[in-house]
Amino acid sequence: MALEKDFELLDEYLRNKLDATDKAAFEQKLQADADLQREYKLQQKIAEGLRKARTAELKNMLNNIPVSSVHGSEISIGVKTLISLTVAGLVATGIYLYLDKDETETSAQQITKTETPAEVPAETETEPAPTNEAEPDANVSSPASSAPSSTETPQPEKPKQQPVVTEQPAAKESASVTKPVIAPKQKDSVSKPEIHVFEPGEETESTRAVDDKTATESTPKANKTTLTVKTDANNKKYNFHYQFKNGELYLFGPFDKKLIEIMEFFSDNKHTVFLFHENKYYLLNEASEKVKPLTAITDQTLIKKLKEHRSGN
Amino acid sequence: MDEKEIFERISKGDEKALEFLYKKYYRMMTKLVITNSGTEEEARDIYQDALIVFWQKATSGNLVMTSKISTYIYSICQNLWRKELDRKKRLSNEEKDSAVSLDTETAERDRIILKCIEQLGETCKKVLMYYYFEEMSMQEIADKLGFANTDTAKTKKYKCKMKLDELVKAQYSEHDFLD
Repeated sequence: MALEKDFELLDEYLRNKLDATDKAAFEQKLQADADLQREYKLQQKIAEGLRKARTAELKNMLNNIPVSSVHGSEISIGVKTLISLTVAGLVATGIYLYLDKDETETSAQQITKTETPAEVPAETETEPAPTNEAEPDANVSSPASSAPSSTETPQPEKPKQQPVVTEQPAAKESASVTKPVIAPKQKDSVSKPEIHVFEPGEETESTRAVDDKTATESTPKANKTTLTVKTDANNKKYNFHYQFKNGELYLFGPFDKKLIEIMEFFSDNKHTVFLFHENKYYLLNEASEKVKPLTAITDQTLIKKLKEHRSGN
Repeated sequence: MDEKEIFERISKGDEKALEFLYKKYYRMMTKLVITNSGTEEEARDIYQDALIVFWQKATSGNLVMTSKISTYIYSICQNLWRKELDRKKRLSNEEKDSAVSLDTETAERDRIILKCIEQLGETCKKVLMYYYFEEMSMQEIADKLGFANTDTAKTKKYKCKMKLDELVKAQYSEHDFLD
């Protein structure tokens, strides 16, 4: 028969509070005593029930805490958006453009400044897998080949562009601001997986999507691409500059306040990137990794063409 | 609240600090899931579970922080989401026929226990939950629930546990579950 003392020990055992010696002694006793064993099983169930009940209580408490919606206020680290593409057969230059139009994705990737940007990097330091676009670089080949084919076939003649939107931290405004810029004409299925930021496991589809992005980043010939765009409004030295570094585009200046749009143009071997910001277009030269000032394009013919693509496609 | 203060308060079972932490990292943590094929609902669920794991480890004294709190929680979120994706994948591979033949008897036993817990008074529930989930010491339970001393907490815990045991055993025997 199990004694009261045994029950006390049992309790401590259930909470894993016994030291190694007591634990071993108790386990031995447990083996030899059928009553105690039965009681142990029941007590284990009860303790488990109490833990479940407490978990449910805590979850309920957390559920009642008001939090702002993620979609409204997240900006993205990279504000990287990928768009499906249409080819600009009509364009005299014969360039192909790609455009991603899923507005929800774009907004999902937005993060606010209030998000204490310093913390995300901290995560990435300690965790090997988190948020990094750089992570998936290792396996670039397979996904790159699969994704493009699907988008390519339907409309190989239309231009595509890649709008990227950043906005103010104020969460509520995001939806309204984002909408006008990204005309959602494309199917979710094409673009959805492409917002993945890090790779949780090789087996998921998302992994492929990540790979896809990085792959196309480094090989502009591919029909799909995405650039990781990061904005920095607080840089003292650079207040209206840009820089391509490690495949990422950094924009220095007040880009968190106004919408920006990145337009990527692909021709056979060329990859050209333009920034649209406050009704002006800027050519972004990828040739070097230096920080360069942003100078608005003045060539009216070019502006006209860019305008056509922005509005027409 | 700085990191140290948050951690100290959480270790003592301060739910306000948990609430603060929840809001503080909500966007950061949910984004992890949302940007990896998850819905916002799934993201919230994973984040909450991760936070509760952190809470349990902190209150039970089983956690020594060597990194930032956010880093720690982030890694739990990652693990949980990875598991969830695996689970989903398995589920879709297995098809419905082989999926989860639910052990109804086990489920019924669990349900009975939860029902019995519900029948306890609020203080009893708290004492037992703090003891088994938060794994607080008697001193901590006494502090938290305003008992005069640890002896009071001990007695209370003992009585509440007896009560719960009785309830469960009565129900189990009714269902012929006592083996």
